[in-house]
Amino acid sequence: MAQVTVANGTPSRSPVEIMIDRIWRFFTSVRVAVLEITLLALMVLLGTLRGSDAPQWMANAAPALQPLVDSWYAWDVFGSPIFAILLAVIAVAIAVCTVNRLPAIWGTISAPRIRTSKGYIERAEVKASFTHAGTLDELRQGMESIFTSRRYRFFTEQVGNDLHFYADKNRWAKLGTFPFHLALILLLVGGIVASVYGFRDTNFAVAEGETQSVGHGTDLSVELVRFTDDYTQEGIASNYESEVVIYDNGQPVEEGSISVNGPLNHGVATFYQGGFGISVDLLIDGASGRTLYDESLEMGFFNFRGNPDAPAGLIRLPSEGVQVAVVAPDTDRANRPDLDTLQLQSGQVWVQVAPLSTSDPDIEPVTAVLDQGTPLEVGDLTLLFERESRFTVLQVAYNPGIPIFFIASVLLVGGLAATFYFPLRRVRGIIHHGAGGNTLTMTPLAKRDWGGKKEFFSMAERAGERFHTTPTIKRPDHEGNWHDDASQESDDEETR
Amino acid sequence: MTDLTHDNAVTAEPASGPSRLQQAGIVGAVALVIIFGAIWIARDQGAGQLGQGGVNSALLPSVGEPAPEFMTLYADGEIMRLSELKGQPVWLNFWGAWCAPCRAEMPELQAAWQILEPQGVKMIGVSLKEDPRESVAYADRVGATFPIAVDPNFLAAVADPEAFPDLFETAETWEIRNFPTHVFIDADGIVRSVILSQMDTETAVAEGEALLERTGNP
Amino acid sequence: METLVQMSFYSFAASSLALGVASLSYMLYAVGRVRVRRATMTTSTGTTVTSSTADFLPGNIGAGQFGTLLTWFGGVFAFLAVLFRTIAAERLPLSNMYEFSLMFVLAISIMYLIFERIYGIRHLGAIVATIGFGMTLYIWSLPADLREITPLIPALQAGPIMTAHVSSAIFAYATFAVSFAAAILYLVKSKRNIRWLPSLEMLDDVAFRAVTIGFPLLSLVLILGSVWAHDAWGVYWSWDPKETAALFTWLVYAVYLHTRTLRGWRGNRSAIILLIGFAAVIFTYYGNYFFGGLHSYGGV
Repeated sequence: MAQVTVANGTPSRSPVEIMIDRIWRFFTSVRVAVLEITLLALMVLLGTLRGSDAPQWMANAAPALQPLVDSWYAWDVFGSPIFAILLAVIAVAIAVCTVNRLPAIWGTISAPRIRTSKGYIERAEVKASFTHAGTLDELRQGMESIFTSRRYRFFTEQVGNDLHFYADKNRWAKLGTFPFHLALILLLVGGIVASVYGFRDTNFAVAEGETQSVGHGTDLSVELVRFTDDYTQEGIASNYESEVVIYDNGQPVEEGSISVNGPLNHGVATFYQGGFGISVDLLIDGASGRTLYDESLEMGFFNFRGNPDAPAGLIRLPSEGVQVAVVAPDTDRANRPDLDTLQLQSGQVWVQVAPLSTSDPDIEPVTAVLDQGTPLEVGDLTLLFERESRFTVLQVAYNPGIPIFFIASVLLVGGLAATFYFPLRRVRGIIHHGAGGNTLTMTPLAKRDWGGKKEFFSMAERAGERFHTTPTIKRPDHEGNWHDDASQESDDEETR
Repeated sequence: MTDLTHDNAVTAEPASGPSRLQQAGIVGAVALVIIFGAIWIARDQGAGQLGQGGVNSALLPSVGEPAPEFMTLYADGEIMRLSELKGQPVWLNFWGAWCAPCRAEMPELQAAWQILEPQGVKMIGVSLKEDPRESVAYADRVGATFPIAVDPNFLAAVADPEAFPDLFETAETWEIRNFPTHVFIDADGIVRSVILSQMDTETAVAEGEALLERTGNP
Repeated sequence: METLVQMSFYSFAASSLALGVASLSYMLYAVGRVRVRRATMTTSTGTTVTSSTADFLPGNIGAGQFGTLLTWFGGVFAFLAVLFRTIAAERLPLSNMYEFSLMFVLAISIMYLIFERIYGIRHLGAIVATIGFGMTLYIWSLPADLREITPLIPALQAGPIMTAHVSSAIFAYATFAVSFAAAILYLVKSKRNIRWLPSLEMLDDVAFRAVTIGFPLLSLVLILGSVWAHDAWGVYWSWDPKETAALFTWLVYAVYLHTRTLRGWRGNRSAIILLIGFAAVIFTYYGNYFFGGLHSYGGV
């Protein structure tokens, strides 16, 4: 690529400069940008299909693809470094493109070029012209009022004997692309801020009457006063609601209720209602008769090998050097006898008391089945299964990215609306002062803007009516049909 | 209006169309054909059965209406008929030992029953969708001592429809899909409240006492 | 209550019927016909000269007008179906596949009629009315219990935000259907220069305008969806399949917009991107059939 340097006539540039130039060109290239978006779309598609049976159908149709399909299923697309790199590249490209395009667009807006060339107007595919016998001033004022009545700005410039004019409207909308693209970067920033500085706990379980601490560097804890659920007669849940008290450093600071779609916020943490679960109220006394555990054990956050489908929980008792695994009956009778080896009855739980440290093989695990309400000695411990209760499952999250997210949302929607619904419209023209009067020729800058042409023709006719003449209107060739020709890229005079 | 399309064929619509009256006639006729066609098709597709399910349906007896007959057997084999309990407030609890929320509320119900029973509220725990022996075994294990009744559907599978027509009716009229469901019926046999969620002792006692207050003062 | 649900169903049946006939009428209109005129003249020398001229016309102008009338009926009856159901349920019908497919039929009728009015072309109807009719056939095929009004599960009880999220999606998809139809006609017209079809420039513009309405709406869907997700699930974005499918659709249309406005692509290549885009729309709409995830309600 040394020729490029020579061709540019700047052979003295250092390799660093050349490098920067190339990188700049890489990021400002629209071709590359389109490639990046396409690549992102493909990765999103791969990631989406991973959640379906579609890859497996492919493998079923062509068994040779099975290894490929297996690795597809195994690939966490959205968590992969490639995906993160692609997002980063796109963010940089958006930033670079913005910086690159801003001056030109700003120029169009703040100081549009009024002067045009005769040749440009002559060659225009679409134009209108008419001759007016009156004064130049009359014509200029008439045109100005036609344009301003359609919310155009109107500028004129005397060039020799001719008067050049330029009219535009919705020029600010041209800037809409910037807030839109900035919003995309902000969304990524918001996501990063949330994952770096925030936290999210999806299984924050609190049994009725109990208190759990939030953790994550906060001094908050939550007490569940009461969990209520409502159902329809069909048995469909219609409402879940948790009445809670929030404590900060052990002091009650807020009482409130949390429901689905009705989160509760306190300080940094926001609490969301998830579902509910069934817990087992257990009383465990040690050999000395000292109570070691008197709480409600939330079931379902632990899987036990003897029946992986059954709700189970685990209690660690470090003072005794043991842990107690608790398994409740499997509600799915179809699991018997293979999966459900325990075959418990309702009102029973199965317990296993095992040494806390796996490196201590001397103590054999002791197992037993507890009947509700009947205390039983298991190893050195006395266990009582008091009753079953309910616990609420909340989510606790702190998301410092929220303000960024909201700003981004507004910018995104506003930017898009400005870009699409207020399209920049421009018209150039020359009023030639000739012997037979003033001849006006004008053309719209509306290469791919059907609506822009439509408005132009209607204004041309309006001008004809005003000046009592029939304008000569040149319409698109081939009835507006064009050839599918990529060489027409950037054919618009001022398109960037 | 300028023809921007330059597409002569598009604008080649007839200059003189049907008169306004004729147009209205066409619109009306088309509307009628569509409406009658739609009624015919929709009927064929079962429009008549619509509105019976969902929130528009009533699976359970409505509050304020007389409770329909409920006939089954108690776990000890005796016949239970809701109509025969008239004169006494009744609290029907539909549950199953398979239902975890029902198990979680069982101690609360037992406590409420111990308060309400001496006051004259009849509570019956109707176990549904399981073998009655499992329900009874569970109740014994956890110390639930209120009367337990058997799933009418379970009996309907073995009983003679001629001998117990009301048993078969019960299975159809009391369609319980939510567990636990509580139905409170006053001494006159009128449904006073239906609770479609788990209850604690306090709520259950309040519901039962509300029934007692109604007794004698309609 | 019962009668309202039934009246809604009858209205839907009427809408389905109207759109079915509208689709046929538009097809009759769009396929076009060739009318050959023969003129026979006797010249002064006594010989007879026969000259033929061929006119290329839209198939049947009456059929096109009839199609418009029937699409209006399709839209009005879809509106009544939605209205009766809204009154019966005391919320917009947006909670299951039956309900939002019904809304889609309404949205596609409205969007199509707007484009027909603005551009004065009926040819798109052959494709758009067929899509609308196809959607009603899909509604007929749904399990009958979805026709009942059921209470909302807690996650869907989000009132205004749910309404805005789902209706934006429906209107976005409806406008993408219009741009899909324009793209198809574009490809047909550019392959064979069929005179009675609208000009390529106009078709290209219809497709573009439709995307400029659909794309911001789809952006709104993603934003409202994440605001709602934040309230219900505590997280804006969870890479749920329905979310990523919508994101894929959004990216396809982003490619279309970039290539068209910045690279000056138009014509066949742009039209093909629009076909891919609409395939993505269908994939997103029926995504619940392919994958589970957080959006797996709606009765399928």
